[in-house]
Amino acid sequence: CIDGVLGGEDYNQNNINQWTASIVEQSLAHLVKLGKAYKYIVTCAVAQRSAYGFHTASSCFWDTTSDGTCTVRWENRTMNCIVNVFAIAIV
Amino acid sequence: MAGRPVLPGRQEEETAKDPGLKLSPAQPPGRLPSIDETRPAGPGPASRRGSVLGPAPSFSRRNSLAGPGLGAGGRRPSQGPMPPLGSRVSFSGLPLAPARRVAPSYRTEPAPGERWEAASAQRVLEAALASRLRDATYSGAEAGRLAQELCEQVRVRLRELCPPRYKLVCNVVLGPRAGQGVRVVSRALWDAARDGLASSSFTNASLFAVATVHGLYCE
Repeated sequence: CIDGVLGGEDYNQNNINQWTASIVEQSLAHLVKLGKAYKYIVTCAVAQRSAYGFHTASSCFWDTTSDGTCTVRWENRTMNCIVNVFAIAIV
Repeated sequence: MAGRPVLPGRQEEETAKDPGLKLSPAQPPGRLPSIDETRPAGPGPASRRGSVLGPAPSFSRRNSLAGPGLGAGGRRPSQGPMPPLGSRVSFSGLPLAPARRVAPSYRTEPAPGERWEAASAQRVLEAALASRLRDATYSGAEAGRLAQELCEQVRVRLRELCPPRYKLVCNVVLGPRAGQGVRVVSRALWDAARDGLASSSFTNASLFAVATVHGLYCE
């Protein structure tokens, strides 16, 4: 998903809204196609690459036996992208 | 004289029966009495397991196979069938904390007055970020730890505030103010009527922080 949207692009403030929205929507669509009984939360943070980094942290209050998370990091020459997926079981 | 031997004999029988009676209430519910009778405490694997696990040898083997809570009669509706303990890993591969399952309440709607309130959650987020970060300066080594600490704090504060039966997912993005552009987006597949989201951002001279919290109703 991320490759399809951001691959080959440079950071551009005008397009960044569209890009993040489409990454998130496409990821969610793929997850829904899996057809499992989960609620999903997809978070995407895109930052321009600079001399400085940035940190993300997350903390969750849920049922550890049935809920979980997955994180994907992607980068190119001009930007970093971190996508988090949280899946929470329904019953 | 003839009666004497009978009496002690009968007493012995009764004392032998009593432990049996006392044991059954102590066993987890759902254990059928027939199992107790057919599994005498004897040598072999049962006793070997007993020495490892501790409880009475005649029942230890049953325990280790069935796992806690999986009574023969299935008398634990709140938990349902559970796989043997040794084979459980969490969904994301992280170490598994001991499970504390809450019984399902069978209420698909949160009780009135117990809904997710985005406005108050946002106020709590803003207050937490401001209080912790007001005098903080960004430093590469510290920032990772700071982000995690913030996340924990946010979660704890929100847990106090938010209504019961809500699961929380808190996310914090922290970075230096260096003129770079950052965009944080989130989308969720949830129940729009019952679940909610709150987010807030904070900046000071040297850093920025964005905190997002999703609250999901758990039936």
